[in-house]
Amino acid sequence: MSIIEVNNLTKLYSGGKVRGIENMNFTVDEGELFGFIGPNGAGKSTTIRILMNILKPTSGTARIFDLDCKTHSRIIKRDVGYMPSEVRFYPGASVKELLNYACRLRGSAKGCWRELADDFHLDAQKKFGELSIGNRRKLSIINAMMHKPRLLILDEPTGGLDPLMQEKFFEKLLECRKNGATVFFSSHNLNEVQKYCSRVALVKNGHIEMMPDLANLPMHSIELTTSSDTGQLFDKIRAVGIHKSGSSIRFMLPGVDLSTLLSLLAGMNISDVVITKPSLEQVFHKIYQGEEKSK
Amino acid sequence: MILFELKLLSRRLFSMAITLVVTILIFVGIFPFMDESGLLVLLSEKLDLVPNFLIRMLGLAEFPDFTRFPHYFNLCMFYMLIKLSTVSSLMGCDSLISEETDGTIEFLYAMPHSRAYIAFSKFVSCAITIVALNVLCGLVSYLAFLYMGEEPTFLPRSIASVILPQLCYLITGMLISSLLRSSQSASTSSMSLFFFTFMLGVLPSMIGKWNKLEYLSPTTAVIRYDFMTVGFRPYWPQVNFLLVYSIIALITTIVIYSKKDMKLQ
Repeated sequence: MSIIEVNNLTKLYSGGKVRGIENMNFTVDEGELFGFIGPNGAGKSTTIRILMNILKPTSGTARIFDLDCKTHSRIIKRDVGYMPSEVRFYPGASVKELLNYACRLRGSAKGCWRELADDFHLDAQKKFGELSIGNRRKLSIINAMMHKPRLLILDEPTGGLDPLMQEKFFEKLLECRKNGATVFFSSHNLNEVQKYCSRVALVKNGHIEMMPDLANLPMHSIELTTSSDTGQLFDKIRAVGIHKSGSSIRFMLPGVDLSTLLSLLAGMNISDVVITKPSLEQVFHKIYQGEEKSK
Repeated sequence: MILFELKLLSRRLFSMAITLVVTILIFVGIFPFMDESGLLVLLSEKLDLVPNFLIRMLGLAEFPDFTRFPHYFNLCMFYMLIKLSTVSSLMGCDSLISEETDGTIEFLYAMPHSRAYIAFSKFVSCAITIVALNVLCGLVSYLAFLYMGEEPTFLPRSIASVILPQLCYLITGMLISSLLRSSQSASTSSMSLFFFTFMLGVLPSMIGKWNKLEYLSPTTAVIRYDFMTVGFRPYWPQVNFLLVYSIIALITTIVIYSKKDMKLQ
């Protein structure tokens, strides 16, 4: 069953002049830990904010629990824990006041946050304005998790957390998943995405570039040196992150079928070819670097 | 939500409450000098030179006797009306946009409540705060009357009357707030709102026509030509008009706020 379903979702700003996201499509299944990665400005936060009904889509639909995010937002949010990329609460209010307020707004039991606050070593008496960046993020994590939601939507949750707290955070995240929760989170830390997520969507220029299954990353990195014309080659294979430098060409090949590539290369004048299976971080860097160089 | 909003507002408006109380006390403290100041003589001699519209606007059509505490205290009430109207206008203009600019609204949007509920809660909290500030002023004024050994005959009516224009400014401010792009323009907008509508109230007296323009000025609904002698009292046709306007403006605000895109950074 799909917990999140995004169909042809488009968000344009300034009367259509500025692209937010364009024709985005993906689904997140129940119990999945789904990573949403991409460079700054790729459209990750825009997508998340549409899911939370903070922004209205220009076209397309976003559904959570099979309900439209725009029209059934209030019902959806009962079962969603959300952590924004920037943690901004009322500076004059204490941690205790803020979390009790969140309990009242959700209709949860007062003090349901205490166990999490103890786990994350967060001083409940301190005012939000007095908290360090790391402690602010802890507060936001607790706020998202304390009502045991069915879906957690986390926008870059680990930024500012020390390594020990990051570990604790993922421990809690896996505990939530074990209890049946689905997790959708965006991140810049590709190692943590590869380590914990079952699937990942790579966002670039407002649309999803690829969505590989991380258990078996179906991706090859190819570096070849040739004097032949490669125009037709790239027409026939779905290569991404293409970067040319003289006679040397580097590109990524989604999918595991190498036979098509090898048969095409057989007819070309190849002086060298290196095929490797990259990590998610290498995939990300090659695709992003390819985009930068081509600009 | 309302309780928490009230807590936030009370922190912000605590100094305002102190200022208002101190102002009333200063007015009371100055009163004994009215006997010696010759203000009455000065007024009666110079009033002929003052334009009619200004006499009406200042409530001097019925000649006040500032040596009498109730008449004198209406000056203080007039100051409080202006002060609290500008505060209401600022509260309204700031109410919705400030949380967007600060980014704190994302916390509320993550909760299972509609934007209509959020906007309405903010209105109720601001309205309660305004009423509380007026009640505080009323209580201190009442004590001032008791201290001066005077009967506060017009005081309850005056205090009750001034709340309506202030609520009107609050709602109009909220409507503006739902249209603003940043809280940076909130204070400018609130001041423009107050002084523009105040001028609309004065304009018909100045030019002797377009009397209906007064209806667009919330303060003229309670400031009548004789307020310096009998205090503020509602002018019912205008009060009814403002009530209808307020309901429509509040609904419009909620609709706009529910449909708009947030300008989060």
